[in-house]
Amino acid sequence: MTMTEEQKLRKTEEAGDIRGDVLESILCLVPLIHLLPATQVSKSWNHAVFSSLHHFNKPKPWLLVHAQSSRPPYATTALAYDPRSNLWLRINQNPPIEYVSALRSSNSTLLYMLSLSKFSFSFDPLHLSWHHVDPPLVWRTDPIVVVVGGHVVVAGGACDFEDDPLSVEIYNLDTRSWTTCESMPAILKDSAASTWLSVAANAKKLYAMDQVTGVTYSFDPSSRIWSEPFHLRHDQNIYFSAIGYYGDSLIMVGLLGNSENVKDVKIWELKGESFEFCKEMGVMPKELVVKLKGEQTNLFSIRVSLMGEFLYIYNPGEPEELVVCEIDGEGLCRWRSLKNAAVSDGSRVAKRMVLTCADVGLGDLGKAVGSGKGSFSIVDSGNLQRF
Amino acid sequence: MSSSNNSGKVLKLKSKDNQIFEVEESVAIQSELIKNVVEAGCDIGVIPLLTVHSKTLRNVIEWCQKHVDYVEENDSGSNEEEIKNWESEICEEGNNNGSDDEETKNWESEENNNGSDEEEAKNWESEGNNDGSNKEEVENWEWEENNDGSDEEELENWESKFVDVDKDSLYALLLAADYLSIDSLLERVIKQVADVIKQCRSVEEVRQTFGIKSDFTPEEEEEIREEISWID
Repeated sequence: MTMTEEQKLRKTEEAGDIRGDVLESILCLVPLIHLLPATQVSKSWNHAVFSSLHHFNKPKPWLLVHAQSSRPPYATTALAYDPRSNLWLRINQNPPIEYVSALRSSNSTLLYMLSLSKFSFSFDPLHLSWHHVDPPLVWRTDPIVVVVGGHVVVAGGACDFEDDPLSVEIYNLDTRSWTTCESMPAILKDSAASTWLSVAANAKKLYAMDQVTGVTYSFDPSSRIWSEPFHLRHDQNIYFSAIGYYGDSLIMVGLLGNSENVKDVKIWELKGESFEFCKEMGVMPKELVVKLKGEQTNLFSIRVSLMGEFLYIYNPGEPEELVVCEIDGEGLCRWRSLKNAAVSDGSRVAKRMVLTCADVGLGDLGKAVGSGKGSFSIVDSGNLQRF
Repeated sequence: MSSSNNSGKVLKLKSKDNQIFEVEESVAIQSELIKNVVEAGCDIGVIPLLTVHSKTLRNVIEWCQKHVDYVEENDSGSNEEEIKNWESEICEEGNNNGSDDEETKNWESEENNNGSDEEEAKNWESEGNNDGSNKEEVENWEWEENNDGSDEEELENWESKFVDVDKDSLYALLLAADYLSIDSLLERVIKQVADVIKQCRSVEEVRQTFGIKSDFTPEEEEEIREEISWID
């Protein structure tokens, strides 16, 4: 037999012969973004991709970091971290999004920009779809903006000269119209802005917690009623706390001690009608608290982006190191640190960082790439690979 | 070359293209398949490996040999004993200086009047105190001998070079590792194949790389593209 005939013999008998199990093990190691082409290779590959994702290495919530220059034209870099493959990607929007003002977020899933003429917001997983609507009646700088069901609730953050700092307006996504409703509880008058409030929302209600006092109110956009206050802190040593949704429960992340001397960072799960049942889930390892503090000795505040079983915690004053907490099947916390790829050592240009979190699946990536709205490049020191 | 294994038994493996390979049992049983054959007592004569070509089998045997060698070279038991003996020798030497220190002190107290004598005492003391460097030596030696870290690295580099082959050969290795059930090889090849997929930039490239023919009709392909778009 000649060499080429031998090769052919090997090829024809072996091509496409990878056992399903083996193929699935291989696909476990392939990042989500690379699995897209794999689904279209053949029927067995298509099946193996979905089976592998379902059984062996499920997609995990991504962290999205938007780093925006503080000066016009507000150049913005959008990066995403995929914890399933420990990979950072750059998201390129097509056409590029016009950032006309400061990008903000008051909870884990929504990004917004507010200017005199426009209110823009996005809550799709990769922030490739933006809604542009008329701004609310009350002029605001940093309100809390949350999607609850089919409503976008905009509360507080009013400019100084406005009469009511506690004003609440709701934008109905179906009717595309604004309504003003009951203002926020008076006790929040000095903290009614996204700087001071931490917000959690599900399909029916939003919860707003004053990060310093811990006092929490809920709001139902259908009934447009603000609730009586909840007192969610069961530990008197908490000086700062933030909340988020975890299934049907609330998760609270708290800083204990005081800002000059933070003793601990802890996570609690709160359950029950008024969240009266409190269970400590985990304590951040000391070496990670040190990383969170960065070059400062103080820890004044933290921001938490949370989705599914993942919490991304960062210190707005020192955004270089993030702390990631993954809650495993048994409810145990697994901690690690993550270098923020949006912070590069070279550039000392003032940047604002806005972090959100999303469940990104193969479908979302497919939609983005297929529609041409988004393309991705892997952030890597060497190869820049585009999709 | 490694020392031969105790039983010294040699197995005969036959490749798909009828080539016979003589392999030490300790090396061959890295394959679960062959191990089972041996344990079932069926290893009389020749073991036929119906799907593995001689070229691939040769490489697989090389892998198995390397891994058997690695385990033998890194048998830490004997190394630890040697270190202990060496350490106790050093300590003995070190203890001799103890008596010298005593002498120094005696000398100092005797000659306290003379400034120049005191200076001399100090110089003498500092000479005696050079045990410090002996201790350092012990530490360095330990680090070198116990540093499986660098051996592991060396194996990793060897493995990476081993799987850095053309696509056809890699594919053949994958199938052989699976058929023969060699965990270490399968794991490493799986990683390599995943890396190969990561390098592909399109569906066609994946197909070409792995020699796969699409079994979708054009309509089905369109459907998939759409299905992916709408799956949550």
